[in-house]
Amino acid sequence: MTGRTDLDDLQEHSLTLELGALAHAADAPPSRVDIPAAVQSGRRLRRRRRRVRLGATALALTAVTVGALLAGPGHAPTPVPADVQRGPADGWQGPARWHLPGRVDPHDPIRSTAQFGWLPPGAGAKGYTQTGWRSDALASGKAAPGAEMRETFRLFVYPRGVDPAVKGARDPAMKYRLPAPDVNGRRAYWATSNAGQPVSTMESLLRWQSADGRWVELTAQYVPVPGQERTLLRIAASATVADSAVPVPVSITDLPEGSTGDDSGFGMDNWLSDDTSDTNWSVAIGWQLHGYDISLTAAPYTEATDQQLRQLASHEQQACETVKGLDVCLTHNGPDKAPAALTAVGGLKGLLKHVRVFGLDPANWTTHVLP
Amino acid sequence: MRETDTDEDEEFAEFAASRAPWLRRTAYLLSGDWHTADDLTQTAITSLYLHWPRVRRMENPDGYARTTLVNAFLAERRSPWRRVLLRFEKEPLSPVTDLDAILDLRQALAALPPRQRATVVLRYYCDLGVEQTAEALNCSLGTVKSQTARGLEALRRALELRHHHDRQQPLHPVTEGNRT
Repeated sequence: MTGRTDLDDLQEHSLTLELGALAHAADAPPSRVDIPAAVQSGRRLRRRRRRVRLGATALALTAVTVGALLAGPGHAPTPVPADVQRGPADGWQGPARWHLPGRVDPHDPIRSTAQFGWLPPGAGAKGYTQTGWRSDALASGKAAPGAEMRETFRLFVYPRGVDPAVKGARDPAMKYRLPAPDVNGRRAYWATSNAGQPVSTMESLLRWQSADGRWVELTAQYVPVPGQERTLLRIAASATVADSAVPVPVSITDLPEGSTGDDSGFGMDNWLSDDTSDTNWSVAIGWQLHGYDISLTAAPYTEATDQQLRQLASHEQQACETVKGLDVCLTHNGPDKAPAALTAVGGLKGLLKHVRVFGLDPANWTTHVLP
Repeated sequence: MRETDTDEDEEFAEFAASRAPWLRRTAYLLSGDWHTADDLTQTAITSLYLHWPRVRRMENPDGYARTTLVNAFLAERRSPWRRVLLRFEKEPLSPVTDLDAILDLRQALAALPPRQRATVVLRYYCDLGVEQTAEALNCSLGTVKSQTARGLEALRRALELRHHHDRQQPLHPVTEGNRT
């Protein structure tokens, strides 16, 4: 990498070099790829296929069972035994088998299971994101002096009955559990890849049990090690574990026929700043229409964001409008020819007429997002 | 487990270990964050194992691995729960010019639609030709060409716009790590 890309010189060779530099950037955290786990999981899938081929009864999908106990505080650092971490027989089952407490309400697609309380100075920007199987509260801070990346904090509450030390530990590299001081009187530990070091700058994991028994996980990235343990414990102690709906500034009153959110429902991310007068947030809602991905995004209007939003995508794949101070855009990712169901409602521009916008004031926002 | 299974497993483990870093880097370019890259790589390697008895006899198992990874990425992007988050920050992240360039490119890449992004990564990072890319994406040569042209054009526009704003006022993207 030899400095900023010169647009006039963004030729193919240059792009190859730039992509190579990006892929080899020094900010990569340690890999979590676990080949033995892949083999184990692959074996399980093979067995299942064989059974299906033999006409055996399909394996019943059951909720993840839990059983092994955590090492309590005061124990010496111990790696989680592989057969415990990955389960006694079937290996990593994946989050798809976690049974969430109730399905996502399509009218209210984003729910928060945890909220930040205290955050270190500079870490004001907060957000939420929800996948089919997990909901995270996120917070982002400033980059430490000399650091390349911003401090990032992520709160995740495991579904009831799921012990991350037994199953669901998607991070096999974090195989050591080091005792941590109790969080609000409840047991806690650091999950780490280094038996001698509870936290690191790249990534640290603190887990503790909430009052209702669910395990909570705080992930920190790019936080300087000095003082980090204290900071994370303070964040953990002030975090709240509670299910709540997250209001957003847009809703859709009608959807083209055939719109689907797959098995999980509709997706949504949002980012909010503590300062509601700030223009530093956005909301994205996504769904599918006959194989096309459609996104509805909303962000406060500024000259810069407006220009960028409008120019990043080609015209036929995006329709934008500024309403009540918000830049609202609909985008589809797919071949040029839009699905007939979308054409039937007037394309993205027509669909935009079915979007209600509630403005910049969070007091006016809604949790009733979809029809 | 049969002895041949053990041999196959050892062979697979060796193959997977040698290819995992490359797959992970490709996954990072596709997804834009290392967490997702790890997930995609894990998914691809699991799928590779599932088909290893067949894959190991292929002339180009690397190509199969790459296609598996791209498919995992596209499938994951089809899930409505994954969305690129556009967010803007007025403060410069760092005065380091090279870092700015990296972040610019990452942001511009992340803004491309998934198939366009996959096309650009396969063509210009994996150094595949049009035909190989079409095979990996299971689409026509014409689609690869048009997606490539659009992807490059979008990157140019995004970077141009960024430079335009840089000249007017500092405007930098928020870094990754705050997405799932």
